[in-house]
Amino acid sequence: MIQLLSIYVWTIFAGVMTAAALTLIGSQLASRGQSVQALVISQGSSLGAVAGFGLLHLFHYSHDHGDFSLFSLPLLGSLLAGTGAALLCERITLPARNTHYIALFAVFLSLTYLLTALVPSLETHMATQFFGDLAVISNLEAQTSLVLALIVLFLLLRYWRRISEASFDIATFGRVLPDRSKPAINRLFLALSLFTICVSIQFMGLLFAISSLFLVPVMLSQKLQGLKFYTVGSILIAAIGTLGGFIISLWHGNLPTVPAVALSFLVIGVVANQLVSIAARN
Amino acid sequence: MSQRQVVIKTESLEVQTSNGERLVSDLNFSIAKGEYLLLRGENGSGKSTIAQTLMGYHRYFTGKIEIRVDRRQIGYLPQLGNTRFFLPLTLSDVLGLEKRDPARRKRALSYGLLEDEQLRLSWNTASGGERQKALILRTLLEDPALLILDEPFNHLDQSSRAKLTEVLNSLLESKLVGILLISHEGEIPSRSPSMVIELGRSK
Repeated sequence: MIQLLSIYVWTIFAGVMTAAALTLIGSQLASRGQSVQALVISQGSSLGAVAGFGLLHLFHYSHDHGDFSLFSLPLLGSLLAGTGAALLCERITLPARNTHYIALFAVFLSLTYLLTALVPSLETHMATQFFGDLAVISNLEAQTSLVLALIVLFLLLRYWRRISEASFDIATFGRVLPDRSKPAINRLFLALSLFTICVSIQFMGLLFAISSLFLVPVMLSQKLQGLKFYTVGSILIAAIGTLGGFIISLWHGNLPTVPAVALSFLVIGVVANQLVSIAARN
Repeated sequence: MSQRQVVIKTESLEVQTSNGERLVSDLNFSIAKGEYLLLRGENGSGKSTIAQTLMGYHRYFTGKIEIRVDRRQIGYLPQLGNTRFFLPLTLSDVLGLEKRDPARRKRALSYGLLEDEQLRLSWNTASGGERQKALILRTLLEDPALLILDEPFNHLDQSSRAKLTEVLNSLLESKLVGILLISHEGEIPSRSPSMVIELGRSK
């Protein structure tokens, strides 16, 4: 097992760090009431990545051209489509906005499926974009996402308190206190969120991204008291959950990695909740 | 006699709704440090919209608004909206109190609005009054030269109201701040406003 893990060392580090970054981002997005927007952006980004793969097929690109050529176009597609989706979401100011976001999500999902149906060789890529598989990530992809996740984590933690204050203002006072209060911090947070979501979808898939974004944050949000405990707790659950899920998947052999990681988040979150309750009673 | 240090001044201010409906017209006032202006009116008369206009958040207006302090020196307390927050913040988190900055904590406690043990309360389980006091303290800790307080006495019990009155009086006496008080309850006890504006008519 140790030998097997050593093969995946870059993947494990990349998965752990990306999950931690996404968890922190997800907790702020949930605080701002922007979870559904994040789902739309994620699906838009998936569409862009699949379209990128479609273009690669059109140009008959293969592994012979190297890993970077193979993932750069889908990554660019993911970032462009994700940004487009985010801009579209921003333009929706109607009442019952979540309903409009879900409608947009349905459009993006349909387009992704349509593209796959038109280019049958994209089916594998679409499955990868949806469910992901940490075990098939190349070393270069893992190293790239690890470096990016570390940069995002550093920036998030550096400005964590101010980002949380901005989220608090948005949630508590709505549009009465718009961006003017902390414009630079809000812009930084939105850019980091968009970038991390798109990159993680390209390398690790939609399921990994949304599980890390929202599964971990909801496990702890009402249990721990204080920003510091919550932050440390969330990072730990994201890290242990990713590692645990990956190890279980490797050990079992037939279990896919990303669903194992997602369920691992759930189990560790429940255990952590119970431990916090026991500690609080004592 | 010392000269008035005006922090905000309006001339012929007319505020409208986003539909172009006139809320208030020909509003002329100035507030200097050590003075407070009372803005009152019935529910829905547009008191909060005027505050948001002065803050620059509401853009449907004509006339002149002259703010003579740095924008960062304006402390604004809007009415409390959502009371639940996803992150499990304590009141101490809301106030931005960190262990490495004991001076800020000491200052927060010096106003006497919240006790030390109350700072450890979760925002989501704190009472409306405790939340309101945390928000007031957050505004005060930014050292404002102009305070715009929208219904600051909401949710407060008698003793907290007395405490807040004391804090506001002491701020005014220090002559470091001018206050625009929006309140349907009336004046700060034991202190007369420099001006009272009833929406629709000023006196």
